[in-house]
Amino acid sequence: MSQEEKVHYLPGARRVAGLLLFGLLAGCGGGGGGDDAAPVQISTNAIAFSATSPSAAAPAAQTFTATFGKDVVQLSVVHSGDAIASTSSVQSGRSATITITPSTPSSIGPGLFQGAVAVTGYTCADTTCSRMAAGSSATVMVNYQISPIVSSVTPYVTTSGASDAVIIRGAGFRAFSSLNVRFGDTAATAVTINTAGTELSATYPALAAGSYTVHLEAANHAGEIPSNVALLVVDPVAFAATTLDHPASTTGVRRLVYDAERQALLSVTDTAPSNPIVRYQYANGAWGAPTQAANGFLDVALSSTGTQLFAINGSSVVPVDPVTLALGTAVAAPSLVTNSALKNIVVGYDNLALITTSLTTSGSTQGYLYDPVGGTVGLNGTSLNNATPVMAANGAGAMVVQGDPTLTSDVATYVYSSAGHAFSSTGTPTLRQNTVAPAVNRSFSRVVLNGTKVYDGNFSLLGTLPDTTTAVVLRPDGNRAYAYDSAAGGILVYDISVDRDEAAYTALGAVTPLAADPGTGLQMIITPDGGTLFVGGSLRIVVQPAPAL
Amino acid sequence: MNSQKLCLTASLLAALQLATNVAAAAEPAPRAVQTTNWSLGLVASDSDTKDSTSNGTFGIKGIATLPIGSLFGASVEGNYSRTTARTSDVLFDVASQNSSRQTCRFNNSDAAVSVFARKPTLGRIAASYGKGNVTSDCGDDSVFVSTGDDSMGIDYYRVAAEAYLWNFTLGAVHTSTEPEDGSKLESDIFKASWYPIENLKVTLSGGDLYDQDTYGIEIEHQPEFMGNSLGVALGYSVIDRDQEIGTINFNVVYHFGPKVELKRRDRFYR
Repeated sequence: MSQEEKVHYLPGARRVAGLLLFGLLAGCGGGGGGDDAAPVQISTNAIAFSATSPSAAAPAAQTFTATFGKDVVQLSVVHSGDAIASTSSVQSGRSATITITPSTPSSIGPGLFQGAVAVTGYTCADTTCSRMAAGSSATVMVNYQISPIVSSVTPYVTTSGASDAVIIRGAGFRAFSSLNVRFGDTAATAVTINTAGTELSATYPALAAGSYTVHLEAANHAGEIPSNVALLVVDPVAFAATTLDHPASTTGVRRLVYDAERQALLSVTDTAPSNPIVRYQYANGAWGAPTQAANGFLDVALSSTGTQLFAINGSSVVPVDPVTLALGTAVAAPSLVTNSALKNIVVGYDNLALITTSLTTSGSTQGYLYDPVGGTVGLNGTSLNNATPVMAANGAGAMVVQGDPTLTSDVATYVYSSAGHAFSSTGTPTLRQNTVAPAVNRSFSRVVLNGTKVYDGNFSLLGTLPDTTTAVVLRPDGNRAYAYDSAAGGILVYDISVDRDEAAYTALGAVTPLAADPGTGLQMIITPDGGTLFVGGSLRIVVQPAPAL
Repeated sequence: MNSQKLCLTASLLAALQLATNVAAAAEPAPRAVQTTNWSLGLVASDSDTKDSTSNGTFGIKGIATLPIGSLFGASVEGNYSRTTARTSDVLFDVASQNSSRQTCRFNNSDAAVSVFARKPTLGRIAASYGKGNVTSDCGDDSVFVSTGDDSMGIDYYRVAAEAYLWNFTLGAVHTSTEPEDGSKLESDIFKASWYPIENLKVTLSGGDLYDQDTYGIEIEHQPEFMGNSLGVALGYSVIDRDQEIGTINFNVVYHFGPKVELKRRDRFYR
């Protein structure tokens, strides 16, 4: 046995001392209490932020105070949730002022967002402070409302006394529950929202003439959703049959545009020495003398908000005042191919303009997109052969046909989607465009190509119109086609609401002769109320009430 | 707290009395530390604060003990541990597209030197000095109260006394901890250990920390089949306050050097 094993624990004094020590251990330790471990207390349990739109500035940061006990060695401020960008704290003694900075609305978009800020006082978990343990915590709940934004309604002008649908664009339409639409105080009768929550179709009931602010309502949105977008409802205008003279030396019409807000007709004409935009104002039951602005224009389109005309000449886009025809600053199209020129322009519901290009011969050239906000023109990445676009009145998409008489085979037709600024081939039909521009109705449920073939919105062939059709337009509801028939010498009306199984449509009633011969190279448009046709040709413009059939 | 300091003083006096009265009665005295030895261990703990966050700690700990003559000994120890708070306990699980829930971590490192006098038949009196540093990484702007930044130094002084009574060991420890730029923290712990068998120790402890009572129980075992070189300890402690903090500790330590039973290791080597 080793020395260290010879241990004898002696009774007596040692036992007494040991019992004393044990007794002390058992008896001590009752000194708890005091306020060293006072819990963390905060001045508020909830903070709310709100922004009027995703593009609004971030709301001001908000602060709260936290007080804590003497036992707190470290004060932790942590947060979670998209509502909060950052937190900061400034300590003073046993209190801290904590600032919550919300996320910028543009970084998280519209919607209801939550966040939480937890303030935890950590204490030493052992006598040497070698470990930290959480003391008490207090949590502030953060709610952040970023309202949806209403950016546009298309078409922005519509007709009184008739129900129809408009497309409302913006952001965050799916960020709130049970979204409804009001036009002024009148609720929409049907609302359909796209998956991305950026676009909805709302059907309004028959409205009286006036301006109606487009309101969104959501059950879980606090307060009214801001909107400065308005739907303008105008009474139908009963234009009498008449003619409008071109400027002298005019040899043809390239485009007719009807400005329903201002009851004005605009045309782009082939007029030497420099093609003008010509404006005819209708007021007090009569058409006024035309005004014009020339810049070698080839086409023009009214912006989706009606505040500008976008005109093109061979190489640039020119914004034009729709009333005074004052010319804005031209924006040149970049990288224009040699011997090519800008050809046509149409405007989508996002107010971006699609521009097609042409060559003097058959050949594909890239088109452009014009952004009036940035004042830029850029290539759109799609090459087409002398393409002709026609935009639906709701601005959602355009029918695009292409081709040249020298082609020996048909080529693809396309649909341009304003949502993605992309072209998609229709598959069928294929064709070589002729001189008759395509016609589409307001909601793109009916399409007429080359003046003869009538399709539904999915490009199923419904029936045909006579080969003698030299211009055609569709009533906004898509139920009627108004065709200028060169053989009949006037307007023929067809009921294209029915599917003729690819057979020929039969005209309703007799031909309606025009008040005068418009000449050749016809362009025809129809007013949004469907009541008036404007037929322009090399000789004049003819105003013709649409046949009531 | 005054009553607790009185208790501590009385306990230390009792331990000293114990040592003084019986010193002469011992047989040829074994040394304070039989031979130089050292140990290396892993420490883990899980701490849960009522109505607040819980956190977990993992770390490593090493200690070397050496004799200084026959009556004295010294030890050098070092610790490193990392504590991760579970902020999900207090941060609502809000839907997030762009951000993640912030966490809170602490890194602690410290080292201490102790000198002690021991009679393996009687008990031990020790004094220690330690120095450490703790850093935090908690969200955007979380700081130590005393320093105003994410790091805090710590100095601590400790005196301890133990009395060996048959299969029992009674002890008291007073620690004075001085956080950097902060208020001094005084704390006391009293311990009573029982060795029902030579390789098993059950320790009850009580004390105060921040004027709050603390209680603990720990069971340490040194299995023979591991050659008396591996010890495991499982403990539970409570800081008795409004928001009670309960901590479970689990330690595994490997002893290099002599392979002796736990009770013997505690009284002749540690």
